[in-house]
Amino acid sequence: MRKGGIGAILATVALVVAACGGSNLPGQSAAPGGSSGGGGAGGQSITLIDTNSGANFQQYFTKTFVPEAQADLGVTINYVVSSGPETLQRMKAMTQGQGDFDVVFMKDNDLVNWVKSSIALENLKSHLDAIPNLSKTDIEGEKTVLGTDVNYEGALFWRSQSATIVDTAKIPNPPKSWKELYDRRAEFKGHITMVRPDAKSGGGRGYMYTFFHAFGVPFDAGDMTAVMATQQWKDAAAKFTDLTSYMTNPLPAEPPDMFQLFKEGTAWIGDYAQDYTIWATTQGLVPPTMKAYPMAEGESKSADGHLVVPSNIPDSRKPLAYKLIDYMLSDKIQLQLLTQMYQYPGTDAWQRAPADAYTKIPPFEEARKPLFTVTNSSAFDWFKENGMSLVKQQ
Amino acid sequence: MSQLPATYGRAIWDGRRVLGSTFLLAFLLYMLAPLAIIAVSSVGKTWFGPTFLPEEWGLDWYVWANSIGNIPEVLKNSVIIAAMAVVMSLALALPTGWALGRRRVPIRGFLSTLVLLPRMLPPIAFALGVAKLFYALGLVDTLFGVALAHVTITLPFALLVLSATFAGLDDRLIEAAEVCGSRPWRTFIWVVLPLAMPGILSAAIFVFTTSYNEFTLTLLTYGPHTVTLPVKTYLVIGDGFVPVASAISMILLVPSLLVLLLIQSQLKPDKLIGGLKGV
Amino acid sequence: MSFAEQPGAAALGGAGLRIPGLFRERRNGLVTLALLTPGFGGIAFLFLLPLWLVFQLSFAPEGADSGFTLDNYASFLGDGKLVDAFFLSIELAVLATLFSILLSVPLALALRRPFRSNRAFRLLILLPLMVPALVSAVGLRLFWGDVGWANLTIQLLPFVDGPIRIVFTIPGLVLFYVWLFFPFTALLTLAALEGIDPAIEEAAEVSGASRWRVLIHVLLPLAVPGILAGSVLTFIESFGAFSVPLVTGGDYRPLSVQIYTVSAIFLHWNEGAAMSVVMGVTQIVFLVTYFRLLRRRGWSER
Repeated sequence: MRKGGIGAILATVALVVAACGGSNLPGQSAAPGGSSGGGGAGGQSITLIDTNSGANFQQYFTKTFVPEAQADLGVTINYVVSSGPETLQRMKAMTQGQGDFDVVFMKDNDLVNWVKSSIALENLKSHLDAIPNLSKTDIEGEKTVLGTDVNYEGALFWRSQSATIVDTAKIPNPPKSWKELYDRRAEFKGHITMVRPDAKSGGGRGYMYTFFHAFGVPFDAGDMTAVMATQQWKDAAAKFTDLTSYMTNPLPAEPPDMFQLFKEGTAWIGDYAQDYTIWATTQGLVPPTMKAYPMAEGESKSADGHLVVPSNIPDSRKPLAYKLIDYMLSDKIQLQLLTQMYQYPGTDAWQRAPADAYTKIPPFEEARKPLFTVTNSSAFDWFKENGMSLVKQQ
Repeated sequence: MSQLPATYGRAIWDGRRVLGSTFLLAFLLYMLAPLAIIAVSSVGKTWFGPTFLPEEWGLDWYVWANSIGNIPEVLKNSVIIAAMAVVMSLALALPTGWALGRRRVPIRGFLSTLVLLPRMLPPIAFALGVAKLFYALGLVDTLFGVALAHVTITLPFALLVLSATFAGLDDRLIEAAEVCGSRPWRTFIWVVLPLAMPGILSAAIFVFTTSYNEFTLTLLTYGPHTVTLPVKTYLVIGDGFVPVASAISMILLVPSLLVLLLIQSQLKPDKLIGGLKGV
Repeated sequence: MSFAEQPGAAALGGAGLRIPGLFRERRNGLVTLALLTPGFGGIAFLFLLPLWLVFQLSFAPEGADSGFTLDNYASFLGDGKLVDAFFLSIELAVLATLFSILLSVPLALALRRPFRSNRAFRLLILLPLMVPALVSAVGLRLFWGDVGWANLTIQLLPFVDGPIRIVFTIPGLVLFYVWLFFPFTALLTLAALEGIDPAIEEAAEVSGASRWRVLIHVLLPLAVPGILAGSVLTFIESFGAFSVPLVTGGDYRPLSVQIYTVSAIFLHWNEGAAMSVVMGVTQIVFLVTYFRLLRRRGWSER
């Protein structure tokens, strides 16, 4: 048909363009992770998916880590930033032996999700010979994450630290404990902030868990139904709901919104990752008068970062994946986390930290003391889906 | 003759030129405002508190944006994918648009609704299905694959515009060509296509910009080699800060605006809008 | 009602197109079928097939791909918050469409006159289409926020005390939706107005009608098909809007945001799929009703 003629021509053109455009084979094009030009000899490449890093660490990985790693290891590293849920969905759709995510960096609750979703991951302890630096981590302590048995499938890369963050220009004498914050809430009306608990970021959920913990809620009492039946829960929930009426209205949807509120001077006191906040002050992204410190009743130890190796990648690539993980657990990299990014290392490298590492952040042991382990990860799920029901702002 | 209510009504009606100018000015501000503030935010080194302008200025955010995003590569991906989407969408829409616009089609109403269907759902709703399908076909992380995913939502635009364009063509010119003995092929190339060109270009522009700005479908079909600008922006915004997102947004806008200026210099906007005549 | 049966095609003499010439009337259904295949084949493969996968997902038990259960629909419909979200989507879409029309008609009328910056204004209409929604969302959030330029300017007025909350409110959301989606209405309204034969307008004026009368009784009625066609697109896009309400909606979360939250954050993909199906069906119902109404009103016979 005549009309079909034009269609055929256009289709041919489309196919030609497609053929030209689709020739991006792995390793040949400069990967959009800043690894252009510095690729390793021999054309080997490895893909590192990062679902954990905020903007600060994205910059660190792109500008510092990838170039150094490529030089030290002699391979091209495709560093890709993605998000936990999307990566999980992509993993589910992949077939065995065809996976192209060699090493994935994720939060601890993502690790729990992946294990619960029956995603096959390599048992890293069984590959100790390929990952000698793994012995610098607390291997046995890593068998269980957030109360779930993960069978050594994660390697602890860093230990994140939540802290109370305060603009000291607005609050010269910030409260030292959650109880004090609650008692003084009228003083801060409209200036207390937290991220919504149903946000992608877990900051708000951590806030709630920490608050409830400070008021004595026994999260170990069993499943959520049992926990919520306790008197402590009922009291804490009532106090929390009351506190929300003194918070910024509406609650910020995600962390960037929350930091915008600090920037605008609307928010004065919140709770967020210590490393991110300190780093942000050095970048002029939040007021330079911001400070971070742990509350007396403790902070929940959440959002540690783990490295995993999916089992669905071709077996030939696994040695390379282990090599990368070993490199990331080396003292060189671990101490970079501490000195450049204010983040505590996953290994015991902190014992070898230089003297000036602790000018802006508390020393490791002092910072980790008030932390408590979250043993009931289903509480986070509960806060995620139902937390907003406890929020009542005028 | 209907009386205009009172002198106020008449005054407004008579003063409509001034009113019109004010209206247009307000419209201008309304449209440009969000982009203007993004532009300023991208060059504000520090901007705390309720002030009209940043306290310090600088290009830091652009340096930042460039370092954590491989902007030239990402830009290239976005443009190539959009171009491929245009070619594929037009290829599929030209014949079908012709049939819808000019031929006897029994279930035309139903088909018209069907065409709009892909625009009726937010992409997140069916993107999962697309991802599953594409993984099965090995189309993920290829420029062709991502472009094809975009065609899902650009094809409706192309069909809409092209069918209306073809339907609105002046029959007499075509008939005249026939009567003069021109063979159908020639008629098509020398008479129909030129007549339809404004519509085809409208369709091409719609498709290009839609693909260039498409986010959700890209997110589920992209990979390390096919990061596009919207995906990059999102990844940076997601955990990053507004000024950096602003800088990336400004970078993202440049090609869009260039395309717009290019098109408008080649083709008068009135012709562009005329291409939609009859829709 | 289809695209072809609209004012421009009226020149062809109404429904039941007879195409002369090249288009020598061939009752050859096969040829038509062949022509229809590329476009609809594309839609079938790229959209209907994934949609079918999602449809299957909506009936599958949580976490599975196949199977049959109505639980997902039950939990959606039983959740007050989610049902509210559904009605919020409708409310926002209706208001956005209405105000888009209110903006587009005067705008189109103003742009009919030739004046120096006319072309620039026409390009301005295209602006929201050139900018990714996420970027617009950030810009709108900044500009209309509590310490944004809008508020800072408003607070210069003597009687205004304290910032006026615009973001995170329904009026605010409507304001943003209009910014994003009015171009569809505006472009088609403008096209319709420009498609009116000047002779008709002249004839009316020569007959002694005032400009006002010409406007109300001649121009606008003839432009209505274009206005309505454009507003359909505005409505569809508004109903499915996502990035903007996510960033600027605050506690107001329409259905699209809830689908995202339920699917990608709570990881209840099956329930999310059920919500998507409901959303899609609603859109179809709206469209069908819309077209029916148009046909009844006789607009298609212009």
